[in-house]
Amino acid sequence: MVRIPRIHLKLLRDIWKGKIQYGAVSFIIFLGISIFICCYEAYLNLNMSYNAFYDRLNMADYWISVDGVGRNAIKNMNDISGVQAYGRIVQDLFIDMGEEGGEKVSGRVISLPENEMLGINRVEIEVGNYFSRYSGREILVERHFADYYNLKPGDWLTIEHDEIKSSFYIRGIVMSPEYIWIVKSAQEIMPTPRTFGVIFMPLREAEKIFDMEGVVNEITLTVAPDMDQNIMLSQVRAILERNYIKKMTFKDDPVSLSSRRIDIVQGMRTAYMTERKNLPVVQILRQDMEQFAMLAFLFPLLFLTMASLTIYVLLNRLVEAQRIQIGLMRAMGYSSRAVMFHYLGFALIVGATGSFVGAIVGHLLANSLTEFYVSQLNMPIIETSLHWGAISAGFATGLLIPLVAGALPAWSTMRIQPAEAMRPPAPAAGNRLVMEPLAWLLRPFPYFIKMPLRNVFRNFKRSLFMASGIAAAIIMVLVAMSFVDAVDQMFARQYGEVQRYDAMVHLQGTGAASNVSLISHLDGVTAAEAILDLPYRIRFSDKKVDTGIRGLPENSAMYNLLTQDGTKIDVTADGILLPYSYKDKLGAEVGDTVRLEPLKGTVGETDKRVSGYVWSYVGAQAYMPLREVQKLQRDTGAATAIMVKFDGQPDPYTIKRIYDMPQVSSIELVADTRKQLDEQMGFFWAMIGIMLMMGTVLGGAIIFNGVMVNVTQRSREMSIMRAVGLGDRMLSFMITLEDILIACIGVAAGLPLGRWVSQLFFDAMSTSAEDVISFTLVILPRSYIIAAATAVLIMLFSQAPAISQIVKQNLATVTKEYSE
Amino acid sequence: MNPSVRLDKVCKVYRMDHTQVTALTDVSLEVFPGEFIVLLGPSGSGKTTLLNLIGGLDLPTSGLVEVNGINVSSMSRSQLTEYRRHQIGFIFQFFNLIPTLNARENVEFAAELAHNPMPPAQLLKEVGLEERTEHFPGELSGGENQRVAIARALATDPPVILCDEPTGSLDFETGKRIFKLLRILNQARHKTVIVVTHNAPVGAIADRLIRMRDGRIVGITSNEQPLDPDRLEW
Repeated sequence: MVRIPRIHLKLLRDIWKGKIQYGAVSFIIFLGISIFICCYEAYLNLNMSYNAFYDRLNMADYWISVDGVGRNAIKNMNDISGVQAYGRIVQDLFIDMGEEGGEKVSGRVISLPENEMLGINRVEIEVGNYFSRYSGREILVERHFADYYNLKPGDWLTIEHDEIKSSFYIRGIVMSPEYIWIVKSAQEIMPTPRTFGVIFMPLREAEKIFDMEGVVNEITLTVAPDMDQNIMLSQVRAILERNYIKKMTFKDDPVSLSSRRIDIVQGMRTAYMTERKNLPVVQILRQDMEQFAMLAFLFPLLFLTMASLTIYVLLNRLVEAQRIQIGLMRAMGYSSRAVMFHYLGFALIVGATGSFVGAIVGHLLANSLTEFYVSQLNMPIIETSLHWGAISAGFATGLLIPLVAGALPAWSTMRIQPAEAMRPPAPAAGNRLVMEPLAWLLRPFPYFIKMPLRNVFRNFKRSLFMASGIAAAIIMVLVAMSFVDAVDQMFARQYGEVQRYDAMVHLQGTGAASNVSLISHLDGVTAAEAILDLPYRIRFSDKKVDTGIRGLPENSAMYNLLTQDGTKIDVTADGILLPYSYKDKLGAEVGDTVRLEPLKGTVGETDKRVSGYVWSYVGAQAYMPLREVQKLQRDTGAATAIMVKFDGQPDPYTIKRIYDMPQVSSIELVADTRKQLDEQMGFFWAMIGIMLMMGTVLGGAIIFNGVMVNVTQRSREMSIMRAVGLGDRMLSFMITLEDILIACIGVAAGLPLGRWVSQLFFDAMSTSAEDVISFTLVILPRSYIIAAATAVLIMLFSQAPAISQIVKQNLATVTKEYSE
Repeated sequence: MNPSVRLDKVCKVYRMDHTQVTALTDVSLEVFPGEFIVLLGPSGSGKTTLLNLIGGLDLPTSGLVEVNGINVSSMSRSQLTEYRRHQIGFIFQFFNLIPTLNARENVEFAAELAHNPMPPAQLLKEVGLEERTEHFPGELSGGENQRVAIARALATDPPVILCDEPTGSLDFETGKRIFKLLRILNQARHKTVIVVTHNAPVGAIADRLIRMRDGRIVGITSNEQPLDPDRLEW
């Protein structure tokens, strides 16, 4: 049998004796490390899963959208060493869901090679089969759309192009790496499956339908990792130039086919190239992923800080309480180093236990979280792995931080002289308290009020420790609540104040603003307004952002622009309004002049004064008056969408009539978008719930330890008070009052700190969001109240065990002994 | 015969902020191997300070402290640790047992420090606690606790045993039994035992009685016929 050295046995027994306190610290470390490992491994797993999915389906590295190019150009690109090119036809059209009980919805056809295993951006068959060998009228339907309309292999689907309807046989339901998340374009990052569907058809069939024999309008490229991107780009550019495409623009939106009309009007053929990382779907997925990475650092930081503070306080208290034992060990011949390591052992065991369990649980949770998240996306590939780097880093951190925190108290044992340590402790110094000059204020109060008030300041370090626990709980709760408030406010603002329309009617390409009068005369439509969205680059000094400029009618009744504080602001003819997120990116102040460069076509370059900054949450874009944007494009009647206000619920007949208008591509009903958003918020609310739970646990653990230290350090004093006749109820009242006073300090510090930490979260999120979604920090008064009340409640519950311990103490024993 | 403990003009001054307290002044003393010494004096007479200097718990301000030929007064901290480990066994008024270790483990706690420790079970048997080895300090009486402390002090087989008010927190009968035990161990194992007490009658059981007052030795009395502790009365 292995015999444990007695000094180690003492360590284990001491820990067992204070198991609840040490267990609580270990639990905080466990939470911190498991969150770190869970979130960071989930981040790595998701990255691996996406990449595996992208690799399996040979996802492109680059997309080049053109009006048309011969197959020869594709062959030439394939001849570039390290480059694989595939030409395809991508065309927006209508899908007629009339017979299926719906209406005409916006669709996108993407051609695929006849052979399943060829090409770039291949699809994964979820149900059914790939195209059969000889049949032409077959399609594959992307699963989001198929799910919504309950489409199955064997069904027929009617598409409408140039007012010609054709029906196709559905061979299979598929997943595409480009549509893991349905994003129609950078401007429409959340189209509903009700209004937008993607279908795939064999290339030769697409050539026939769209009259593009031997011609493709999108080139997808994969590039060998070791290839010089600049050389590749110059070679691709040269090939395009030989095919009379003189300009190549990099932009964020690979599949907005709408504005080609501008090229044609302006007589300049342009290619638009997008890198994979700029694809909106990739950006959205990355944003989610980076939130995991962010959670992996911010929460554990908070937890481990609190754990280290708790260990520091606990070990200080332990060293103080075991002075005689320290003296004894030194007297017996244990070296000061052995004694120091003995006390460091407490931190080591607490840290090792928390980290070890945290590493295991964190890893298991990471796999579950990855599986849950990936299953939400319905991705067929889940890559989970044992990321030793993350696990080791987490374990080492969980071990190191308690050791650092415990080093000072452990080191202090080296200074303890054995002779001095074994004498009975001298009575505590009767220092005058900080609050003593104000003592006259306390004079009218009875002793059971005065004493708790004095006690708060008697050992201010101890009070501060407890207050920090309360502050930590408040921080956690406030961070969680700030997300709730931000989402609430985001939705309330976006759908209550900014968007006053009921539907956005998207036009095919750059349509005509005259659709406004057609739509506004329909029954049930109370008003309609046109908007024009154009992709632009905005420059200020050496900084630039590629974005969209939205032209809005002045004094629009359907689209209000708000400043950050919610004040209404309107577009002005001589200026441009920029989203707040660009303030840092461009560094331009109101009144500065920015350069506007069109990303499509060659005209429309101009300078504009920044007339203000506006709040926006989805798809950050700039705003100008509609006629100014139209003027920039020399197309005074242009519009890309019409905002429509209905009289009550939109009538299906009216919707159908809008769909039937020639230029109409899709109708986005605000009510549908809200419903979809609500459905997508499930995961978010689960995360908020977990954060609230963790905040409660963290606060509870720290406050429990704080109260235990506070009470046990003074157990003799309290027992004497009981011995002289103070009742248990009165003693409990005094302890509670003292704790409430300390809680007030914690609340006072926790609320501003919580706001600050929330701001850190939001800043980190807006950095990772890259204009897709921008959150603005909002904390409503109710959240401050909830956070403070939660912390105080946790404190009241956490003090119960300590009070119970005090009232159960044997008075005779406690009052007799000076040592433990 | 070489003395087991030799003190030559030992002074100890404690400095605290602006004041200084002289605990010992020019104390010279020789204690021989196997002697049973009682240091007697009122509170503040310097007897515990003297014991601490002999035990290497503290260093003199001046003078020489030599134990078994080893100069303790000029030792470094680590040398003092080593010295205490092998030369000295301590017995305290409040026992100072580790509350989370049982009787056997408390003795083992000390035994682990020695190169050739005494078997803890045998020591506990010698102090009459063979039936109580698995009991924790909280489950033992005061006298039993002190007997565990004695066993622990002997665990490293030190030549010198220092006892600071070993019966101060015990009742009369138990105290007598502890002195009896100390005397037996002194004689049977030939240990040098120095007992600090303020209880005058205890001096009768010593080979020599050393009286202290105000940090000085004020008298040394040799007992040709030390009293059997069983016959002690106070």
